[in-house]
Amino acid sequence: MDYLTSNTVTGGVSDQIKIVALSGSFDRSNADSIRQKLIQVTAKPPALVIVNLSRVDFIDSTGLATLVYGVKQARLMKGDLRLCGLKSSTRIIFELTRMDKVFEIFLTEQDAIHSFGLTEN
Amino acid sequence: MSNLHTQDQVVTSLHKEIELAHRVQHGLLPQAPPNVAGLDIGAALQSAYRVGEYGVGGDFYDFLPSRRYMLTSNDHANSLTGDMLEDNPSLNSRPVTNDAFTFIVGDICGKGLAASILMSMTRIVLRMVTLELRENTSTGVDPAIIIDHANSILYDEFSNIGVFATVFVGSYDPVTQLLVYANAGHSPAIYIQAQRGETCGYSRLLTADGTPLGVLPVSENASRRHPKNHYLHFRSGDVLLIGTDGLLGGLDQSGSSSAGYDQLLKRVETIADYPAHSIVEYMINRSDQPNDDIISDHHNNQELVESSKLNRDQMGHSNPPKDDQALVVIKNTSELLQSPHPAQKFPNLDIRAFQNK
Repeated sequence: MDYLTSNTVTGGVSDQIKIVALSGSFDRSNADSIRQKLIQVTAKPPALVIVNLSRVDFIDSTGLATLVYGVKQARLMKGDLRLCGLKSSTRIIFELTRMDKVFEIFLTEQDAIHSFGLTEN
Repeated sequence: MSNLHTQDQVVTSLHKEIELAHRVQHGLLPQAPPNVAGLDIGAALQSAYRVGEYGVGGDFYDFLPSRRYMLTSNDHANSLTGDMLEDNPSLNSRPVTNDAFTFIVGDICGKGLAASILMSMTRIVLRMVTLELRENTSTGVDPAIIIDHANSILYDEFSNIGVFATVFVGSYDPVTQLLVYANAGHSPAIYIQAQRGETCGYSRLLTADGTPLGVLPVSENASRRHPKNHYLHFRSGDVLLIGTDGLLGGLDQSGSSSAGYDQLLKRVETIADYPAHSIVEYMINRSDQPNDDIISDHHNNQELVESSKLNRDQMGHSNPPKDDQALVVIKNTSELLQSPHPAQKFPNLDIRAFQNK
């Protein structure tokens, strides 16, 4: 699992939304390091975070728990953690566990960025 | 040299700790399925995290039968005795009685010792809530309420450490033959309706409609959080399989869980006539075999069980599975009980009446 964290580059909102892009398998073997990353990006309010899962092939229950931890932290910090780009094999895991009720899920990263409703300068 | 000696001591000590944890975990689980009137029940558990022969994990199951429907050694296994049929006021007032047999299957995210500690905590909370509701004359052992109360107790603790637990809770009353269940983020259970007359048997997935325990707080909009109760007329010959996700993992060869479940449904339909313990044995030992000819080759129960065990040995199943696995199988083996369809008693309920595929 690799991950890349970046700020959005959409003018005035660039510093407000953090994007964490993951790839490979998201499971017990790498959940701790991703959890640390989510703690980092949700440290200051408002914590507006997008996790891009478009390159994630597999997520297990520990991966899901890590995202749940992240969304709780983000909401505590007056923000939200939203997901985008789920492959069908990953999406069905969210649907079967009803985690699709917990997260706002978008098709593309741009959709997720726009969902925060921030206006550009 | 002293470092090696210390390492050996640490390893030995760890082995002992795991062995102790294994004994505690398995000691807490039901030692054998209960003898509930008209039901044949099988269950098994395998842990992915093992040291030597001892394993611990986060999957669990539990059975909470009431005294009313427990069989004694003198009772005929498939029939309800006079005491069980005596007037039970709660049967006439609400679908979930105080005496219903309650069963629970759960899965804590993660594996190993940490998951096993949380498993014990979760199981105790669910048990405590269920036993309290058994005394509550206004609710009975209502699965959705059990899950909701357990979530309210566990939410803060689970949030602090970043975990959740999926649970499937069912309550079944042998007199009304009404099975009520609620599914909080748990793997789909499988319901197999037996063939009746000219009506073919068929199977269906009972998927979750609520989030797991520890994910959404009590303050969250209830319709988003709560699993709802669902109702099944669970009649003679019907079978229910409730497993954890580890049981399905090996089946999914295509990368799609839906394909995995389609495969699973086809497989369980062919073994539904076997006793519950044989279905458990077969499913646990064959869970990573996508193309399976065992059923067509073996026609009686003993052959099925023996062949499943042989397969386990051939496939190296003495090695731990990739994920924890738990499975409970419940079959209705009651002799024909002339009870009315529960819909006559509870016309307002949406009792699932699936159509054939």
